[in-house]
Amino acid sequence: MKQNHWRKRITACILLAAMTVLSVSGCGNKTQDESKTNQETTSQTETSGANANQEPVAKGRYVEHKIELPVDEDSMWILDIVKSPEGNFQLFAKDKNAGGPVQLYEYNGSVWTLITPDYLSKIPQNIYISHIAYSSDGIVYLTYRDAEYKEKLAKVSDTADFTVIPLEEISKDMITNLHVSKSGILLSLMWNTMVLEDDGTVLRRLPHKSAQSDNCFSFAVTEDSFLAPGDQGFIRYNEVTGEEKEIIPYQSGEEDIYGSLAAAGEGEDFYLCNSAGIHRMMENGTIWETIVDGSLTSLGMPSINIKKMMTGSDNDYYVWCIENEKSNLIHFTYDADMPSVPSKTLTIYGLNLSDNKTLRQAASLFQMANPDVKIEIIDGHSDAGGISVSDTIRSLNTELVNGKGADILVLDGLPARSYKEKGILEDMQKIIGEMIESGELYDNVADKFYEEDGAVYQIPTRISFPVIIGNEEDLRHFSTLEDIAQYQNANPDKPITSKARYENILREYANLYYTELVNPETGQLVPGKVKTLLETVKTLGDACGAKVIFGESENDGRLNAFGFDQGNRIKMSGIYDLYGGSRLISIEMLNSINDMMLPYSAIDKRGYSMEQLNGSYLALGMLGVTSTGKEKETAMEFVRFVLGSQVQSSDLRDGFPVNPEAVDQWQEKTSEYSVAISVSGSDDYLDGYWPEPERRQELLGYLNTLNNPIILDGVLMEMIINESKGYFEGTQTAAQAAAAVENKAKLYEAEQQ
Amino acid sequence: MRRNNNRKRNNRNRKEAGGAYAFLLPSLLGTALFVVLPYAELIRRSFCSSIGREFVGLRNYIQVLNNTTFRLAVFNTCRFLIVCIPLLLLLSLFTAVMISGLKEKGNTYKTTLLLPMAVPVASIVLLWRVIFHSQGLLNQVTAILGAEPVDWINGSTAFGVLVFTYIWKNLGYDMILWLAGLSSISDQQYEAARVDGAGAFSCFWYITMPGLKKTMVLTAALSLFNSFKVFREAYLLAGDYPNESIYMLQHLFNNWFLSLDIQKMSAASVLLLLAIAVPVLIYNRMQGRNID
Amino acid sequence: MRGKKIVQRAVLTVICLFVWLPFLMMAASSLMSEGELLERFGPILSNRTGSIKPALIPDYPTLRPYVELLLDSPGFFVMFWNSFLQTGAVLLGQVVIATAAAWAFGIYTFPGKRQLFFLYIILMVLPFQVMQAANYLVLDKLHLIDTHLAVILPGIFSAFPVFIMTQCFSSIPKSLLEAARLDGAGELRIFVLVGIPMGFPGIMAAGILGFLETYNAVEPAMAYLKTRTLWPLSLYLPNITADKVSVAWAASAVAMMPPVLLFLAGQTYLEQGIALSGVKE
Repeated sequence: MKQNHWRKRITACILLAAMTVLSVSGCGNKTQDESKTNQETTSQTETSGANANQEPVAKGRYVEHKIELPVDEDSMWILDIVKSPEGNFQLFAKDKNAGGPVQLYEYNGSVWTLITPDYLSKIPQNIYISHIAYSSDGIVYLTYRDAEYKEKLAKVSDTADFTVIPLEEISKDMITNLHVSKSGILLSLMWNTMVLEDDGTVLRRLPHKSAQSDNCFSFAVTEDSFLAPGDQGFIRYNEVTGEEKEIIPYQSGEEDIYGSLAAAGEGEDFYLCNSAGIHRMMENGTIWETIVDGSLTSLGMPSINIKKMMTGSDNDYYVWCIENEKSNLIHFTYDADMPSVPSKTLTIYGLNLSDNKTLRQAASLFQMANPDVKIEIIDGHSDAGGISVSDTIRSLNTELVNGKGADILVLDGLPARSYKEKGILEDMQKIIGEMIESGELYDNVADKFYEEDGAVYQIPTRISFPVIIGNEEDLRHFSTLEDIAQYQNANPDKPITSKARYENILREYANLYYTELVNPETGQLVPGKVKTLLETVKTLGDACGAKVIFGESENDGRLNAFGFDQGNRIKMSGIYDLYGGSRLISIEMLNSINDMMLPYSAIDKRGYSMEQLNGSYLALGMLGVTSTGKEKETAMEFVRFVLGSQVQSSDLRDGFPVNPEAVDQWQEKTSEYSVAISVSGSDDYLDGYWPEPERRQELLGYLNTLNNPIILDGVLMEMIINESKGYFEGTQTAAQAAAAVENKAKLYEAEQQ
Repeated sequence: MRRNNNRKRNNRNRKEAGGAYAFLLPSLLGTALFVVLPYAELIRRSFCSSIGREFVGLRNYIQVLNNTTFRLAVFNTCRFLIVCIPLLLLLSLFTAVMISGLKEKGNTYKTTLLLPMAVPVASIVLLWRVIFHSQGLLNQVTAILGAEPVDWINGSTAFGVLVFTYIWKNLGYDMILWLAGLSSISDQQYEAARVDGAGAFSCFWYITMPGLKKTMVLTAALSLFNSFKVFREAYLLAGDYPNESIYMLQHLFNNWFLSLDIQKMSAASVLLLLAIAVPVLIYNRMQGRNID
Repeated sequence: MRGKKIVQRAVLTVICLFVWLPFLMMAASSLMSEGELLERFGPILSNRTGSIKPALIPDYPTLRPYVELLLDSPGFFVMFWNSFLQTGAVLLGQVVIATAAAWAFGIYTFPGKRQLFFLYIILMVLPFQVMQAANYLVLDKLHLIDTHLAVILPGIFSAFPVFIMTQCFSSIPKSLLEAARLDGAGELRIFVLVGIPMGFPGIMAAGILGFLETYNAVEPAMAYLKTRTLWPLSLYLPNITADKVSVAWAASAVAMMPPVLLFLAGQTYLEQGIALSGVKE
């Protein structure tokens, strides 16, 4: 027995030792990581340390200038921007409507000049050029689609005629990149990049190997290597032999393959430009050195898509990027007098800021306008996983009561009412009042955020509003929950909503009619309304065939079509089902003009009417300035900036603007984007194009009429959802379930007394 | 002579006290900084307004005592303790008596019952979901008996689930305490009683029980401390606003914290502190008598 | 007599089933593929119909979850290491500081002793969340927020190990100490040569309980550590349970390994220690 006991203990000890070894190996990884980050930061700290004796602030930072482009993209295509063998930037363009010859502009550092080298006239006019590259001896290579829409490669020069290089196998594939190096022509297709002889002979194939995409959107060719995206990082190939030399880990993750690579022209160093900035990888290095901090420049703006980076001759960089379907050329130069690190830090905290594009856009623009300010966006809960929201809020409150915490709070999902009452939030009346005065803020929106004493503690930065679409006589029955239930009862064979789980319908209607349910003044449930809500949802659900849970076989062959868990955020669109005839009306929660493209198509085809629903809207990205913050003035400035027309005018598809001046720019904006979906079981389809000016006006005109903000109390919402389960499962009556909800709500209320 | 002796003892006492303080000092300093100071801050906050620094006297205490949710939470907490602690003491004593009867062979059982202490909260929550979910294991068992499925965690059965969790986690610990108590009662006493013709029950009642009195006080005290730790499970399983039957002080504290009513939370916790201080004081007196 | 033993064992076995079954289920589930997990635990993982079908033996056992957890998720190791660092440091501190304090409480008489001991007991009472804001104030003033020390230092000065070990030391017969003193041993020497060996089970017991407490603690790390690379395993676990179905059980199993092994290795001490804290002459 005794022996047995010992054996058990020894086994345990051995296992314990094994665990320790495991954890130590983990420690090994860790220290490696640490040393990496250390090295990454040393370059910055060293500069600041070196200057520390003479000056309190380290100086030197890359700044950006926008280079005006010589063509108007409304009437011209920009075909490519390349560096000529002489080192000048050249922009190739073509008239959108008139066609004609390729036009070439050259940039000498300050102005663009139209030039006409002889070879231009040799390029046929009926081709669609996609990429242009120079060889070192001045021959121009170009890829294009011919009149039959086949991909082709050709070369031309002042002395030689336009010659097509024969390439049979690529006719279907899309060519994503072209470069001419000393060893041959590099041409990126699906799966691999080919190295070609001048006569089209394939010398080598260099596979791309990225799990994210088969295409190579960007590569770099240094003196001896070719760098292309791989699975774990960029693959460095020996350009001459095609041998795979090393894998260089991505700078910020696999999305780096959508950034742009560039080589400086000499040596093995190369550069990467992504939303985090411009980074250099030295020869034999393992660590990316960040040269330009993206968050301090427009590279970090969500509205920007990087197309191509090119290196200048004086440690400067040119980035060709697309914003709102328009090209920008940004020049990054080193400014030795600029403080390398901003002196002020403004912190913004919110539960879920990872996809708050407006805020990120505003942060980038604000930092560019105020180089002494660094904006830190703290995403409190986005990838917190199993850590509950209340745990996160408790941590935030711990900071707030101790006079710490962010300068600006994004109040969505936070207990804003308590913060207001406890004096955590600062009065923003001064800036809000000014903005209303000068017509920079919808007063129908801002009005609702004035307290009785005239103070303003919170203000939305974006708006999402519902419209209802259907036959005119049907639209009249949606002003209250009772109306809807009555109408559905009168037309039991015409479902109002799409088939879904009861819970999803409940969330939708609790959201849409929230102000009917919860008194906006007191934040308390309106007596009796929960029962109405539950009964309405039941009526709607019964008409459309809703269930508590759908089994796998009940989804009509579509993966989890009805059973998906939509969570708290409602993003609804019923246009497909309305058009297909499976529902009576459609409610669209709109975030941008794009969201109306398909609905307008349905309206055109069927003659539907559209109305805004009850003046209600979702107030998104509610900002508040904390009274405990250290940078109150800057914080106020920032709030004003976010609401200002510079930020509000960009359409990031995360909500409509709150600023009428910005709306004017939305009105003007056009897009070539289009979308089409076919209606299952028929030849019929919906095809959406950018709405005509009158339609845009109609849509944006709704913003003037919104007066019913929906500001959800997450606690109450969860109570409504959880306590009503029994009703939909059939174990409780509506009255019992409503009583249970109200009971819990009372508890919630009573805590505050 | 006698006086001399006294002085000697005094001297020795002083020297001993000096030694004691030297041993105690690091702990005292750290405790003062990391524990006592926060407690002082807590007490200060209980007399102040929410985040402001203004003094509001007893207002928070009056508010708290008048608050209906506070009363509900106190009631539920007391109910939980009154049900749980005796139940745990009895069950653990029962298993301890069983195991002590097995002598060496009881080791496996001892190990088994101690294991739940080692389970992380997250794992317990995962396990409990599997068992107590409305489509879970327990409902499948009760379905065999013809019962309707129940959502054990969110329904009125939540109290039972919480009691079960508490006992599941703490049974082994208390059992070891009891075992120690049992082993300190000498076998001779039982022998003597048996010779006198006492049955198993009388043996237990007249010898075992009195011998375990001290153990019981300690076990009860430790169980009380441990009872404050099941909250995390309760909260992860059933959320901020669970079924009313398990809405306890910790839930209220938590929700007050969320709505930034720190002042109320502080006042209520000072009250809790006072309420616990009384039994602890009594316990300490008993212990003190032993220590001195 | 024999019959009674059998009944006893039967009853105990039934009680132990409440522990064995969940443990076995966890072990079995940790060897299941993602598909099987979804099939079996659909309703709690993704709103599926049907019932939960836990099993003690997987249909298609696979080590894939462990491979994924241990080899493919570097975050896991960082947190594992953090857990060991934090727990180790707390235990080391407790062994030095709390043992000394418990020794003082256990064997000496000095003015204020009873009051101080009362203070120590009462300090164990309030739940963490209540103290969260107040603790933050102190830690922030000391600039410890967002460092390992924010979790370690308050952990070291927990009153619980002092409480446990005091009980243990006070059971050392006074006569033994007197004898040592008569031999001319200094107080420190007595502590090292008599106290530590005699109180060893108590120290071990406090250590094991302290390990469980610190290793499984969620709240201090959540409240005072913002940088995710500092987070211990206890915080990673709920994360992994929510995000990655496939490794949830494996993570639970691996996370439980150290405390369980420690338990098995140190059970004798734990028993003796807990026992010593309970019984005194």
